[in-house]
Amino acid sequence: MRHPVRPAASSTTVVPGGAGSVAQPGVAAHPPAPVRSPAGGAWVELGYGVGIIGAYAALLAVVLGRGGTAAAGGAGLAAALVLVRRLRRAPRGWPWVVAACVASFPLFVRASPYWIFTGALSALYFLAGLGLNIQVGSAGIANLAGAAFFGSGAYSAGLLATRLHWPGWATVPAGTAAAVLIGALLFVPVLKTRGYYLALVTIAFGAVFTLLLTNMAWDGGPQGVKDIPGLGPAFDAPLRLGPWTLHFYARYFFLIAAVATLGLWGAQRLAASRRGAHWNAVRDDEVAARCAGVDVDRVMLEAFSVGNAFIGCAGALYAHLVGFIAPADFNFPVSLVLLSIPILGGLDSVPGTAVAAGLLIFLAEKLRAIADYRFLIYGALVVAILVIAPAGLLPPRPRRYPAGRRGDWGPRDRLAPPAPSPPSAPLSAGGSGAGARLGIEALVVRFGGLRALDGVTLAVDAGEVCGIIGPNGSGKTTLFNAAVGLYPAAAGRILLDHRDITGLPTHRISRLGVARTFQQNRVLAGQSVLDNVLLGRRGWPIDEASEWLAFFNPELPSRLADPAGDLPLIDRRRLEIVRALLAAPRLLLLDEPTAGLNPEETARMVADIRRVRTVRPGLTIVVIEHDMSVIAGLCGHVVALGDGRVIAEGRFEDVTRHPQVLEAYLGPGGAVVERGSPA
Amino acid sequence: MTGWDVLAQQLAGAAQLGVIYALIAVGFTLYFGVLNVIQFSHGDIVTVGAFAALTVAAATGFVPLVVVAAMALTGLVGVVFERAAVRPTRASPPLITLLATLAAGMAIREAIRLFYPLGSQVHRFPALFPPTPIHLGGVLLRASGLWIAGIGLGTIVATAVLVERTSLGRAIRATAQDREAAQMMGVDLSLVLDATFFIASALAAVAGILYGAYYNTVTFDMGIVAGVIGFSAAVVGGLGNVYGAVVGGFLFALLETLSAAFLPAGSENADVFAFVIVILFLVLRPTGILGEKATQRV
Amino acid sequence: MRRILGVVIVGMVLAAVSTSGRMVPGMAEAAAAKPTVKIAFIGPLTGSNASLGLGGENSFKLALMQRNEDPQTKYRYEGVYLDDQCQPQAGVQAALKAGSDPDVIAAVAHYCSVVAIATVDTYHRLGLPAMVWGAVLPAVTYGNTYVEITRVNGTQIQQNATAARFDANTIHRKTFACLYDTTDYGRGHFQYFSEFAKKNGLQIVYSAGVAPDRQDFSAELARIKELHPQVVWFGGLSAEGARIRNQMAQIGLTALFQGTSGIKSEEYIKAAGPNAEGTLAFLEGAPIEQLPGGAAFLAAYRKAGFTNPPEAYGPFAYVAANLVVRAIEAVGPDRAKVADYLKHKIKNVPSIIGPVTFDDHGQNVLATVTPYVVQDGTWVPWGQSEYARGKRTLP
Repeated sequence: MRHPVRPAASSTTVVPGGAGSVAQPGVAAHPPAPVRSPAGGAWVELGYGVGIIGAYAALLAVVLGRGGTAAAGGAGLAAALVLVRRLRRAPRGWPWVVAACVASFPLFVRASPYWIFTGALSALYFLAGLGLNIQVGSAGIANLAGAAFFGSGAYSAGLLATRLHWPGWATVPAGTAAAVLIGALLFVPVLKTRGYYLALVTIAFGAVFTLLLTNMAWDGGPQGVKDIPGLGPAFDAPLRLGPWTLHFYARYFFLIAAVATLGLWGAQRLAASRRGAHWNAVRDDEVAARCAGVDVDRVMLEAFSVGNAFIGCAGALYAHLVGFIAPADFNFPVSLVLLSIPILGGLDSVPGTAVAAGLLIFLAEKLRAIADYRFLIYGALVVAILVIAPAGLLPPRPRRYPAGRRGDWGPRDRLAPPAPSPPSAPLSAGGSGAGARLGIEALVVRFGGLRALDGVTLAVDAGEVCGIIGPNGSGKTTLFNAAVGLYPAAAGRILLDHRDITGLPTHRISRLGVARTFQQNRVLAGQSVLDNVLLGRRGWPIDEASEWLAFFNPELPSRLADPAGDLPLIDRRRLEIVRALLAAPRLLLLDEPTAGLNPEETARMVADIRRVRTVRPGLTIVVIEHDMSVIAGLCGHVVALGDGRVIAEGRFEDVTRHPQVLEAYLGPGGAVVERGSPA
Repeated sequence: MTGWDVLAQQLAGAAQLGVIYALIAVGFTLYFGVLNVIQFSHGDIVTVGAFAALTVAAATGFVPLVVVAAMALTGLVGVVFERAAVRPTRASPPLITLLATLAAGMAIREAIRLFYPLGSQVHRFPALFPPTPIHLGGVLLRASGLWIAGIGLGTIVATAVLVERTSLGRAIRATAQDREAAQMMGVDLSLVLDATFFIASALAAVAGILYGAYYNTVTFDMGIVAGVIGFSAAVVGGLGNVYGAVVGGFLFALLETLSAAFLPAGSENADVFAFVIVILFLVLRPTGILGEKATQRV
Repeated sequence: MRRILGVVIVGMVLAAVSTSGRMVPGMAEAAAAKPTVKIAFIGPLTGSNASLGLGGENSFKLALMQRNEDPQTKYRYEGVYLDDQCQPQAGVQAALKAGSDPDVIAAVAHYCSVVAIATVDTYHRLGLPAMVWGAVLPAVTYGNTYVEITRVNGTQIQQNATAARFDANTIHRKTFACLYDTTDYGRGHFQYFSEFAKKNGLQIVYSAGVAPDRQDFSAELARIKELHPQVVWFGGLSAEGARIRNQMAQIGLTALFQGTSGIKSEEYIKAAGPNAEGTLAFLEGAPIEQLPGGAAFLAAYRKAGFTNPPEAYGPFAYVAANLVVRAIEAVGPDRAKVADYLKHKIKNVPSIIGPVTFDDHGQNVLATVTPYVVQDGTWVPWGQSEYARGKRTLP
């Protein structure tokens, strides 16, 4: 995919109140605060609680077959969903309400082992849905073989329990591990294929899985594994709770609900952690993540394996709950049901997964009454939901951050914006400030038959600011991409100080201190400002991030939690530079930092980069620019590229008058204009 | 029968199957190449085509009319399908569209089962083509087999002409190459969407008819297997490449037939081999046999 | 929040593993005085076996209708119809749903063996008597000793013992090529057929399993053609059976085609068309047309206006419903008593499938197996066919 150089359309975006384009320190223009403000929260939380209880009443009424109550409760459910979708943050105390609802469920349906069993089953599907949500929702790994991993867990547990007589406490962890191990078979496809292709690989894998289960004899073949014992001796006896005696399935219900709650807690923690942010980054923009030092391969395999662990654990519990498993239980339609849980709930939304799992299983069971039309209605319903609410029933909320204690990342407190520090304040972040020397020796990069770089040799000394100019297609961006390891070098070497970094993976190069920005802005539009700038960092150095953001624009620290896509282009460009600076670079590569900015903004950007030089005097900077005023204002040393070769090198005035450079830009006899033409 | 006769008999079967698979694969490849959509329920559209033909054939025995009417009906079903499930979800992540097509396919399948008279049973497909035996050495061919191969190939060639030589085809190709540029040049995207689904679904109808003629029976759920195989053929040939789809169709038929005939336990595991090959292609050569290796640019 | 979650988790774990429970008393006594008694019917009402499931459901409905019209009965019988989708998990849920309703006294359940195997434990746990009406895998009854489980139809063992004997002694065939679907049904049949084939001195020259949704068999059939067996034997259901028969004709493979109970359906004849002529199949039970009540059953079925034919196992569902009603009439609507009655008191009870007697495992041992042959587009019991009388000859 080759992007033609073209000014970004959003450069003309008008910012409400004019803030952002010309930021004035001290003028605090607070963005409009919607429902997320703490004020007025009391009635919202009350409404929320009423909504949940209404939803619960709806579920019970449906289960118990009371039409009027069901209708009223359904309205409550709809109201709760609408309300919750408007909230940025779940109100305090919701876990109590939900836990009370879940724990009391078996008491309401105590006469019916069927509904208790169905409740347990939906908790299992929720657990598996959480795993798929990590894979599909958070990390963007399209897994359409959920049932295969569910089956891996179930068959491992079932076979261990029946053949080797392992007890329940051992088979469940074993089933979990087995799902992860079988998932390892797909590591190569997960790394090498993306999107649709990965979806198709997993579909094929799922088909092979059930076929082999059926065709092999040792695992019971098509007749499956029967007489799988319960989880333990206690699990076969009815459960007495005060005055009530519940069917033994209630034991499974409580245990599975406990495991699912544990899974919910873990999934929430993961989603709120830096790891969760990395999963999202890999999903949204792999290149940006790599260049920020994220080990994309590892992150993806982790997400895939963690997800499989959830699914496998659910499968193992399933084997003990049902007592019988067969290949038919783990075929493609089952994968679809599993996958529809996170998609209907809202990809990357943990609470959404819970809502969808409950709805899907109970709905399917209620539809059993109209046996014949069930799948017709089910199919139509899924299409309708996907068309009406493609983001799901409960779309994900932005990640929340801890304030105060560094390293404590429990998603408990709201982010209090730190006071903007004056631009002259000493910046605590950004590494030692010692720069690195970049050496490029006879570098060749090929695309098929085309030599995009044809023996480029240049050197940028530590602490120097070097400009790279040249017409479109001369290989400037290719040079950057090769330097950070995105493109393989066909010949030649790339040296950082005296270390050969040719052929190293991008994230390793990034961690050695090479940071970059992109000509086509690559902020993660759907993620918060803070998530964007912290991409290359461990932990939550919020203060450092705020300082650097304020260094460029004093208003930015108050928008840490806003989606980066909402910012004007100049702030998005600043975000990229802050992201690069926070990674403590020794070499900073800026690819057209002023592309798409107006002259005023361009001037500010140039001034800001010079200020970076004053607080980080040792940092080596390489700038690609079309705008000659930018190069003139920043760079002592300029390199001109043409057709993949260095055609001139030296001081700005000399290089821009070099006849070959003039020819390359304008054809024979031309002259370089002050403001370069972004073609 | 000698060993060579067995092989020749296998090849004769594989050739007919290959044409049918190729027709289905071309549909997949059109959706993907033009619209970047995986219409995973294309197999169910094949079923619609077969049942449409079954219905028309009950009224008239005039074969060309049966074929044309089934194509028109199925094409319309395809357009409705696109407007209901594909168009509204195109702005969402690809996975949403994939799931929407799957769910819509399930609805179609169930609708046939419920609303077609005795829909849950196997239906005998009328003998549209004469089954006159033709003996070639030890190999037995049927005239109907030649008809199947001929009509299938003819339809594929007609499609190629439609896409390469007509103004509609030009709009489709332009959209496939660069949707934004095509729209700027005045190509009506909505029309291209409708046209692509109409053409692919009409092809599916032909596939459904040939399918019925080859097996003599049709069922409401025949589309599941037909879809999976046609899709796999499209992948092996290179998604988005029409000629690749044809090659993939034949290759897949050959592979399936020969592995079932000559590999140990091949019958049971024919599908396993097929799927493993699909996985290998997707991972090692995602552009298929005929596709070029694409370089990812930043 | 962490603390709250911690409390919740610990509480749930404690509740789950606490050992203070004791057995629930029998659940059904409360329902004794009700004039209406519910009986569940469970079978594959959707999916590719739906046709057989609907045939069973209609026959079951017919039985209840007839009993309700009878002024002598003590209770009014109401059917509860549940779909098991031929899927184990769905079957378990259907069984649980039936068992959770205290008004449901018994179930007539399952066509698919893999579902029946999955649910026998569930019926036992809930104390719900279940009479299997179509699943043929021996393990459904012989794999347990539960009092709740009985089966009115025969097993694969009975079917294939008869089939192999018939092949060896009646029609004198020696060489067989066997195809079977890879489900529990097809594999099980092949296992027992090859066992009895050996005992009867038959020779299996070729065998291959095929996935149940397989469409094309030309590869296997071309191999078979080369081996010239006298019989192509198929263990599987109508749709595949008809496809195989049609493709045999297409490549000119003229051997006799013999199937199991799975293809003894009108669906097979319709789908195979003229190719069906001369196909053999085996089904438990005496030919119902000849038995007292059999013809009446068929007439009543037609009169009731069902669109779907009863199919091979409809009569078994009909008989099962009648046996369950007989038990309830005798001992009252009490699950335990009904289970006991069905398991121990059904000896030589006449029915439209012949007399029914349950052995210690609840298996109907008197299920005779009848060979059928397709003659002029209908399944005809071998004994009455023109083939048996020598007017026509099998291929």
